Amino acid sequence: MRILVVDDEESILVPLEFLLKKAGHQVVLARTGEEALEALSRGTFDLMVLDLMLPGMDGFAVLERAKALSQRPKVLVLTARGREADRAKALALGAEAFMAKPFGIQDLLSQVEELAGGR
Amino acid sequence: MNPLVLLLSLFLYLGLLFLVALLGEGRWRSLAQSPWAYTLSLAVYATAWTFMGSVGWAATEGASFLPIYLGPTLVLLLWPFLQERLLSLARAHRLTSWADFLYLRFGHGLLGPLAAGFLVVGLLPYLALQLKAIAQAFLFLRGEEEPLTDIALPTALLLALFAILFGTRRLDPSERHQGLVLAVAFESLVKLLALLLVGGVVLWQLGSPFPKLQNRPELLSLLLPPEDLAGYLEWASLVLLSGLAFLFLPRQFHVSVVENTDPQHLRLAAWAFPLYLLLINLPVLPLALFGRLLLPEGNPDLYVLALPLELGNGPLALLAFLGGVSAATAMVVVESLALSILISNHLLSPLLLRFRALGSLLFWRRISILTVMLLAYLYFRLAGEAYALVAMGLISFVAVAQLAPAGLLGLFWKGATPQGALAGLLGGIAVWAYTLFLPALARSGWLPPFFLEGPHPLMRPEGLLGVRGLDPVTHGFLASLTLNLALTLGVSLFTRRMALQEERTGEVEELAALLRRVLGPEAEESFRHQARALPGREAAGLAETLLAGSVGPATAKLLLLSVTRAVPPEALREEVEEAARESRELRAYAQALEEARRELAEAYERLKALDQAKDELLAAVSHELKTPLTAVRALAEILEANPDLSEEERGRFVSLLTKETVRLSRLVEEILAYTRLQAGVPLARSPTDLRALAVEALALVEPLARERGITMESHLAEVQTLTDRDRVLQVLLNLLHNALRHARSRVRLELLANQEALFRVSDDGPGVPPQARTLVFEPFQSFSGGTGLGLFLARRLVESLGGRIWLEEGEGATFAFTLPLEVEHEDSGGRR
Amino acid sequence: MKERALALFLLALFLFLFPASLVFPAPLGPQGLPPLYLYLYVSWGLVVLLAYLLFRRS
Repeated sequence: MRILVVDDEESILVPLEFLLKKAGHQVVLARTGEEALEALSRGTFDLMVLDLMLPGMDGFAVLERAKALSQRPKVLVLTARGREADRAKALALGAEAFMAKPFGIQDLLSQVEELAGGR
Repeated sequence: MNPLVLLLSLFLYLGLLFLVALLGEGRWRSLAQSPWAYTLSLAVYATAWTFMGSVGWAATEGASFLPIYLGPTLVLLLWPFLQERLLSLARAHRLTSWADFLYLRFGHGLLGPLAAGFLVVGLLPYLALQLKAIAQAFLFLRGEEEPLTDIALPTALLLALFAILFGTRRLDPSERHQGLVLAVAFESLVKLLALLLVGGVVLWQLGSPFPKLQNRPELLSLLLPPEDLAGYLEWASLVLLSGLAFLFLPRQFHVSVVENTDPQHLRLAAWAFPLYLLLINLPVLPLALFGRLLLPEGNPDLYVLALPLELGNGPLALLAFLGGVSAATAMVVVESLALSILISNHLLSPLLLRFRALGSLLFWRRISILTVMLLAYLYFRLAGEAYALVAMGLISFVAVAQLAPAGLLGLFWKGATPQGALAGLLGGIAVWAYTLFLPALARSGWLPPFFLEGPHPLMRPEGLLGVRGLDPVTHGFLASLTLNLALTLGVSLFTRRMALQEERTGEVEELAALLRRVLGPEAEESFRHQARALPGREAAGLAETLLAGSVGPATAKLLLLSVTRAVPPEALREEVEEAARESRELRAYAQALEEARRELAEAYERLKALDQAKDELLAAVSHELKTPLTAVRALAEILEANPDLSEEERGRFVSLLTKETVRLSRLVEEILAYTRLQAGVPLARSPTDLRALAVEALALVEPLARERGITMESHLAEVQTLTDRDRVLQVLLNLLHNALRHARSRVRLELLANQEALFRVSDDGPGVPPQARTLVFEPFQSFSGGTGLGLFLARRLVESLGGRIWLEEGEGATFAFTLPLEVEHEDSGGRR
Repeated sequence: MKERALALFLLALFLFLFPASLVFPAPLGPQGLPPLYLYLYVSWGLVVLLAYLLFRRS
């Protein structure tokens, strides 16, 4: 799968990239909401792993925009903000899954597989 | 002498007196209130008795005419003692008579009316003697022998008329009659000058009388001092009696106490009045002797008139007549006025109150004056013929003296009780009546001689207990006063002191209405003005005082009953006050409780807020922790699960791991610092090289800067200060991390020193958006990946170090903070 | 002042109540004037003077 990972923290992107690549996926990184949308406009992705807390454009906005695109990638929201409201909002905006940080690697990978398999 | 001339001159003189009285009320009011007017008004003590009777008495009895004037002299010497007690008391309570005082002091309802009634009766002889003097004089000068009685009645009526005119024109609660005072002072001067003139002319024309007494032993005996015990007792008794009379005569009380405007006037009166008495008595002896020498058949009481006529000096005789009439008139006017006040206050007011006729007080006063004068005339008819003028006057003196034990003991002895006063007064009255009053009537034939003899030898009215040789007056005086005093003292010692009077309190409105009803609108105005700021109890007391001046204290009390309610007496009042105090305390306590409750509610709110803040802190903290923890966990797991990573990859992961761990520990540090700040851990001050510190901070953040590709610039001055090193470092690191997080390419650290040390951290990042500028130092305001606490902590730290921190204007974000420059002082024994 | 007033009072009392018959038994005395009256008026005048001196101070 082509996966777009959006997070402003270096220390998240690196392990995620490693893990997903190791799992055999193609990974593109974006550090801001703008970068993510740019990446989405340039290519198609099957899945977007999205952190809600982004500088500049907010994660929810990215989620909305992404879901408005024709390709409509699946979105896995990954965030330190674990409030119920955020979860509900994310899901309402169309996210397929929601995971709170910190997460275990295995959990993440299995979630990703699940989403991939649903395709 | 032509009777018309007599009458005309009489009326002219009286008219003049009346004019003086009017002026005294008006333009000459200040004169009327001067000390000299006051002093001369006291000379109302000298009546026709002094003017004519003294000469008569000296001509027959000798020197015993004189002690009557020594008594007042002695009494006035004691004025400092009396002034406080009597004058201030009278002023404070508007006492108009001794009867008022007795009621005030003893509270017994019977004392006032008894004293008032007795005084009226007791003074009848005195008033009658004035009538007799005038009638005698008039007849003598007219040269006819018409019965006295025909002249006496019109005289009585005329005098009553003048008394009414002088004293009852309006109702003044203070009973001040300035015009009357001035008129009396004027006439005192007239009678003094008249008598001195008569004496002077006689002496001048006839020379000294003393050489002419050579072969007149009976006249020489007049010059002798009292020889035996009886004579000495008489002398001493007269001194004492006259002193008491001076105090207790209603007219004397009126002019000396009621009409007194300034207690300091007594300073003058204390010596000037005795001087007056001394002067007016100077002509008496010569006149008496000449009278005996030249007019052996004449009435001694008329010598003052007869001698000028004998010398062929008609005008002088007329002057003497006017002087005598003047003296008599003054006495009658003032005495009957005083008596009318007594009558209306103590005898009539209770009746008037019952019959709701209080509005016509002035009318009843006038009726009283008329009645008194008619009664005086009656007494004159009944007993006046047989007695010489002075003898009649002395009977009244003894009557008046009966008030002395109750009055003086009441004034100076706390143990005097109402029962004692009443017993003494009754006893004294009884003895006076038995020994003096009734025998006088018997002697004139109006009562059977039984009253001269008594039922038993030991009960002879003029010789009780077998005492002989004393003249009736001395005897009567000593007997009555002894019994009076004994009873007053004795009964007082055996009876309890009276319970405290119940006080009353009321509303000013109602009290004012009452005053208007009884005393008129001026009194109401005056009361309103005075009672403006008074509490109910004192307002009621003031109203009572004002009323008492006009209707007497007993009636005033009765009147007040309707418009006031009782205040519990002292003992009960204490309980009431205690209860009031307790309720006040209770209210204060309840208030304090309410305060405490409110504070508790506020504290609770604050606690909740803090709790919430703590929750938020925890949430924020845990939120902040999650990200690095995620990374750490992920990286660690990766490292663990992939032992065959390339060196490069492994290195990368490890460094990331390290970085995140550092981040975690920094976060923990910040939280710890926050809690430490909350706990108020004291500063650890030590000399710090700020430049070195700045360098250290820069070194610490260098890896991060390098990683992000941000250039660090610095411009550091050499600065030393006394401060907490760790905290300053923390602040620097906070700001630098912040700057590094937001900077695009450049972060600059400046250290300057002027009066303070100034640190400046600037980055070229997007800066702080306007809306966030004010909130940037608030906790949990993270807007980009920080802890939300960093700047807040920085501020707390800087402030605890004594500096300031702020966000500067300009491109990017520039945070600056100051530190005070402090140098450690050597302990040189001065400041530290 | 009160003490002095009392003292003056007692003095006057003594002077006025003095049993003059013991001292002035004769009807006429110096200058042919009655000694009793002389004594009385002089002492009276003296008392007045003393009272004036005592009370005039304000």
